[in-house]
Amino acid sequence: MSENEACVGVVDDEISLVRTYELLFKHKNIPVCFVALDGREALKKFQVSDPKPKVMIIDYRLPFASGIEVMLEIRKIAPETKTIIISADGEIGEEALKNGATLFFKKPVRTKVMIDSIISLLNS
Amino acid sequence: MALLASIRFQAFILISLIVVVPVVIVGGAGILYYRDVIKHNIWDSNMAEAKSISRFTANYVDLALTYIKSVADRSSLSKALCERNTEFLDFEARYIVNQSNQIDSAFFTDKSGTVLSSYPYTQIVGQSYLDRPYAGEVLNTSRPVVGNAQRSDITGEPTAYLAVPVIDENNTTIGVLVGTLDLFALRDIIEETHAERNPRVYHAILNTTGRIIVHTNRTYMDNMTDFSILPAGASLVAGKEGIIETYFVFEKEYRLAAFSPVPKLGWGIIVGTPLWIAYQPIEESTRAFISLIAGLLVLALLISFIIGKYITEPILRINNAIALVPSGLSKDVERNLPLQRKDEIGNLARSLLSMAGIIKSDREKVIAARNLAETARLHAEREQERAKEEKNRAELYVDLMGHDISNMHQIIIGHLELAQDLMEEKGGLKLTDKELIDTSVQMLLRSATLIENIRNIQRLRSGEVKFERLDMGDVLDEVVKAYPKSPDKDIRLDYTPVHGCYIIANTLLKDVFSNLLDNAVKHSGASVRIGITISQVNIDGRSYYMIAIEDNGPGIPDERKGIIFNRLIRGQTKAKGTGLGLYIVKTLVESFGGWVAVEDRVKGDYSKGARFIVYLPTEERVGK
Repeated sequence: MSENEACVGVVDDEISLVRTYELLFKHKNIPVCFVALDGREALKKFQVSDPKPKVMIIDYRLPFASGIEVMLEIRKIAPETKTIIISADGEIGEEALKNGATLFFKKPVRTKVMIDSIISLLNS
Repeated sequence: MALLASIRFQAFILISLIVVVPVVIVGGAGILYYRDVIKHNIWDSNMAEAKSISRFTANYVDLALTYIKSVADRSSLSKALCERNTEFLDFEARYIVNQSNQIDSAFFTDKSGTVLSSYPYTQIVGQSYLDRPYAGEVLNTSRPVVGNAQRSDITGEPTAYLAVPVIDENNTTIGVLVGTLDLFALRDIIEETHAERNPRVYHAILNTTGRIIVHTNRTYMDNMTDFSILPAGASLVAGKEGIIETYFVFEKEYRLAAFSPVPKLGWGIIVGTPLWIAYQPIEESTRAFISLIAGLLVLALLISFIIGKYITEPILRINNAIALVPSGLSKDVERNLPLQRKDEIGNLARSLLSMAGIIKSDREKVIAARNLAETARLHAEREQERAKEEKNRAELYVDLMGHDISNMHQIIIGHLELAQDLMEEKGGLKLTDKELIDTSVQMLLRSATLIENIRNIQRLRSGEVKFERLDMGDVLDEVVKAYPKSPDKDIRLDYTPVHGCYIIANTLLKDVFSNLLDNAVKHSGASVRIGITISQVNIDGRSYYMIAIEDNGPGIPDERKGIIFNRLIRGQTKAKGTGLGLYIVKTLVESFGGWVAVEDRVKGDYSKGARFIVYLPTEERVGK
């Protein structure tokens, strides 16, 4: 991954799902800056990541902090970062968008929809 | 404080005040008033006694003088003196002494003052008494003379000389008749007259110079002690009368001294009374008053005792009975009440007993109603709690379905859609793409396990699964044989079968161990080492089987150890984590009467792996 290449960051506490994202993004040639299993790890990795992810895919329910809280902290570091919040609970979608999420997906989401949205955001 | 608050004590004080205080006030004032009156009476009495003795002494001397004068006036006596008929004169002198209790000696002188005859002291016959004041004065004045009492040359005792002239028919003084006053007889008469007085009260007669001539104590007479040094004696020498409290140096005590001069003679009388004798009436009256007060106090005590017994004590018993009414012990209430009395207190006691019965009955009704309300409240609380638990559980199931299963579905969709893409792009799948299918299958199996766990919890809650006697060794054998195999992991199980470990549980026991084994495999790395041990321990006198399952996985940080078993936390249904593994372990173990704990495999270093320990009561313990 070159320095100027736009990449994504993945945060989810379900390691199998993270592995799934990695396989999908690899297949679609979407660069992954880092993956994290909880909010603290995500913030640490985001701070040291170079380049910073252009798009963050964040699960809503995480250990130590919610996905929205992680998103708000990331926006303080890099306000231009686009964020996709994913949750099985559709009710938090409105809250996520109100707090600045670019997109909200309710699990399970079709991979094509997610991949297309990520590519679109990376190219915007 | 308890004594002060006692009604019995207060009654005693009240009665004492009512009875004693007026007596003390009136009696005290009376004593103060009459003390002075009595004192004046005592002074008056002593003064009267002194005056009385004074007059008596004067009369006594007058009588003696009159007697010897009557003898001297007889013509036969003047004739005998003229003729110097000593035989006749001796007879007369003896006659005078023998016929009188007042005269103890007598003698005749001629006109030259020479003693012609004397009785009983004949040794003075022929001596001249002209130089003696009483003889010389009578010869000069022809008038009777009472000489000052002085010590006798003959007897050495105080002696008072009474001298009268002997006159012939020519009215010429031809001689003197001298008689000596019997002062001891005078003393005896005075003492006899006042025999009722205390022996320590003395009566004294002083001569004109203040010396004792008569005294209750003869020693003073023998010495003719000079009393002029005493205030009373000095006053008498000065011709005064009066009464004083003064210190008597001879007796070394304070005395009340009443003194009165004897008219014409220049003598004086002292009545000396020790103060404690003089004022005895005052002390006696004071003692009598104190005795009266003491008697009244005893009377007050007696009255208060009677009041206490017949009024106060029944009131106190009624008070005790009232205190027992709330406890509802009717026999104790009845025992404390003076029901046998026929008076108003008895009526009060009977009314109280009746009221206590009503109160007891009402109280029982109130208690019954309150118990009923309490039971209903507890039942409602339990129902509310149960409804809350059911709601939480339902929310948990929804959460599991919504979160965990959605995650699994997401993984399955992701893998299968990727497989679809690959098939479309490459016209089929290669062996290297097998992971896409394997992962999907694993997710489906995990989803099925989750659903099974939910179903098991539900079965446990509903009591659908029956408890029975199980050998834990058999159950563990079964679980170990079916432990999760993974082609990507090198799994080694260190387990030595142990049998005969009987506990009371149900078939869900195997889910306890399979969940713990699943966790150990799932969270470990490529090389998994799992150890299983069974032992028996005694905790707080109770016997348990201790099953420890340890792994070499990433371990559990201390801050997570306390929450990993609580998938379902009260008031927080959307808990972190996936699945129900540890939650169902805890739920099942607790339903078997045991508990589960987690610790570091290597003490102090959680990163070396975790050790889950399950404690289950032995069958024997459960049986008890």
